[in-house]
Amino acid sequence: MNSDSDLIKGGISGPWVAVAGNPNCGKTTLFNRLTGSRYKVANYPGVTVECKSGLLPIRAQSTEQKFLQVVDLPGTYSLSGTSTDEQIAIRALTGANPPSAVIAVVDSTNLTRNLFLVSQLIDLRLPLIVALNMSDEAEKAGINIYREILARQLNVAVVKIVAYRGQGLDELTRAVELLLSSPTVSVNAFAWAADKHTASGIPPLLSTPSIPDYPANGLYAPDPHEEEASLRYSWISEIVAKSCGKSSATEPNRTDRLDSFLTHKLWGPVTLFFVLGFVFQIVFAWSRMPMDLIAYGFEAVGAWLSGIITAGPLRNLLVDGVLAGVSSLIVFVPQIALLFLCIGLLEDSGYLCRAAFVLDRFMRRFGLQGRSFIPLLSCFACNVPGIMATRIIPSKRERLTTIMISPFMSCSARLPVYSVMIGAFIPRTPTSGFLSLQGVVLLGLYLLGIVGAIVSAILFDRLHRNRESAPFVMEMAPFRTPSLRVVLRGVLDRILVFIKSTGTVIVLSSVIVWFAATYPRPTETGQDLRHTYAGQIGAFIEPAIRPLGFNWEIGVGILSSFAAREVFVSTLATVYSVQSDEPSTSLARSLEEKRRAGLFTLPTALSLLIFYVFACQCLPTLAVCRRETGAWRFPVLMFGYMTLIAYCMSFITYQTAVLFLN
Amino acid sequence: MKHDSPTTLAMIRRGERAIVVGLNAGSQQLRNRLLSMGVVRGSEVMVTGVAPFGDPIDVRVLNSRIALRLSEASHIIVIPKS
Repeated sequence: MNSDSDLIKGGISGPWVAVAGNPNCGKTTLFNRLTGSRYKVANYPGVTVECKSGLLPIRAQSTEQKFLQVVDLPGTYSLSGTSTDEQIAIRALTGANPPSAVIAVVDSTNLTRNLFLVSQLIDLRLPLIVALNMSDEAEKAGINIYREILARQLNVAVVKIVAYRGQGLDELTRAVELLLSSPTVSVNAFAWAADKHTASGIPPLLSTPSIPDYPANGLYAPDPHEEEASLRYSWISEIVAKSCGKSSATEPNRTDRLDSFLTHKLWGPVTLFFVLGFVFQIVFAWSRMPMDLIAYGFEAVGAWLSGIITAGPLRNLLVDGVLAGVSSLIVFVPQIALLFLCIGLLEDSGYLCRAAFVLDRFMRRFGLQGRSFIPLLSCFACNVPGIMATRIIPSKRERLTTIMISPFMSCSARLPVYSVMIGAFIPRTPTSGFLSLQGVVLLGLYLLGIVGAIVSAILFDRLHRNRESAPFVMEMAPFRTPSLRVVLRGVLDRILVFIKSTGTVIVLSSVIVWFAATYPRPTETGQDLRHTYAGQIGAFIEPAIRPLGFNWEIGVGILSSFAAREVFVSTLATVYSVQSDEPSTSLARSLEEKRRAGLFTLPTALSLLIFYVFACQCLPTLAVCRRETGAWRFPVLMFGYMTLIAYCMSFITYQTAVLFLN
Repeated sequence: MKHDSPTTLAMIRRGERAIVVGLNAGSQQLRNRLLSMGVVRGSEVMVTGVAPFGDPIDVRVLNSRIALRLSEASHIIVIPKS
């Protein structure tokens, strides 16, 4: 990817072209097509909204080809609202460096509503091109838009395109080139009033439309925003009547028919259950093999490196520290890729809105909203992609709450810890029903996490009472065949963003944990953890964790599992000098012996299990939380809050267990 | 076209149409969003669906459908169209 454009350090510099439009109008598809692989994703300064900027090859003035910066503005329905997306769009369009041209992407099947934003863009007096996207769908629906008439009515260039098929793009590019070489601005479009500024602060247009003379019944006084919107739509419907062969249709179509099934009282939730179950299965189970392959691959590289570097601290650093760190970073990629593949397909096809629609009422009980469900569900596979997935939640307040409760969902990395402890300490006795006592305990741990999440969500919601929720008002996008191109590109973007933003933290933390757990090394080749830095810290915190039933060895295990939770099992295996290829099973056996010997008791095991349900000591999770919230205080709060809860719950568990079992 | 007395969109049942009269109360953000999506004086709306718990509702406006929570729909004053 080309880094010619230094976009984000304090705004857009140099000449650029904006791509604006409603959400779901195919703007992203067009942007991808125009820029090819020449684009990058970054954050707008100070907010967590992402900015996509790229390079469009054009021929301007001379015949040589050069590149023009293109920025994909956030999808908005208007420029007069107060949401972050709209603020960003209006700031970019009216700031110190306005674009040289604006491409307004319009969904041809929804011309009237899409022209609202266009009318506001015209107000801004920027050189404008209207790109009528999805013109193939419009034709199929019997909507005939007369391009030349529309262009004359709006007084801007109008081009018909089908972005996902790549049709009309050359014409669009030529239109952009023409506009850049001789910029014209639309005049005489629409008038608000001769001497009144529009309520939104955007300067008024000209000419006088007719207002529908509908009785208002004296019930209320329309405010300036309403009047303005009303006038705009009157103007727009006149234009559409003149330039469209068919007015806004109100007959049911394929989307409506599908929806009567998908949002049905019974079939809606049933379909949802199967779809979400399938998504979960994909993210949880199908990622196993790629993850194992990655781990195996890195081990192979490690073995090769061990072969060519002589034994010593350098080799240990490279293989056990850095390489292991990189491996623990890359191992996240399959789950992130699969989750965003599913989300991308669900979103592009239009099903995601239906899922949110069905779930919204249920989720709202906990201070969340419909779209929170999928990210939270994926957290059961892994918190990292789950938190990244919260970007599908448009409202900042609900998004934050969802992120903050994500770690309560027991991720798959906690399973080795759960299974070792349950295997060693919970008898296999069958209970009434089809689950053994072991199964019941495991289920209980997951449910405990969910209860913790619900309580926290309600608490956070109370705390943020004053912070306004964004309106739910959600467009039910028409069902479309998802564009694999766009979805895959989105997956790649997510992976790159993940590696770029959290890569250093993850690898570094792995190296630090390895270092602390290895040095200082006793002279013999035995692995005595007691004398290492990690062991010393474990011994140091032992008085604090003894009320939880933990000794210094467990302390070391908890500290080392900061880099990755699974490390706990191997650390403990090391401590108890378990030498084998299957640390989990042999550790369980070893622990069982210790239990019988009274060295590692049931209360300790229970306390440890509870600790792992509630503790957030996964650094990758905290790093992703930082990236997605854009502030340090959230991961810090998350860590502090959950550590406190983990400590208290663990304490209660241990003391109660000791009381009852003695 | 017979005009009934004005009511809110939240009271309109599935399958019924109404004409928008205006918006009342509600946050500015909500009003701006509704206005930009075509919920303006004179627009015809139709309730095409309802979620399993009765909330949110699925409403046709212009040539698209939007989902609205009942609390949001209660800010839209309409006259039922029969």
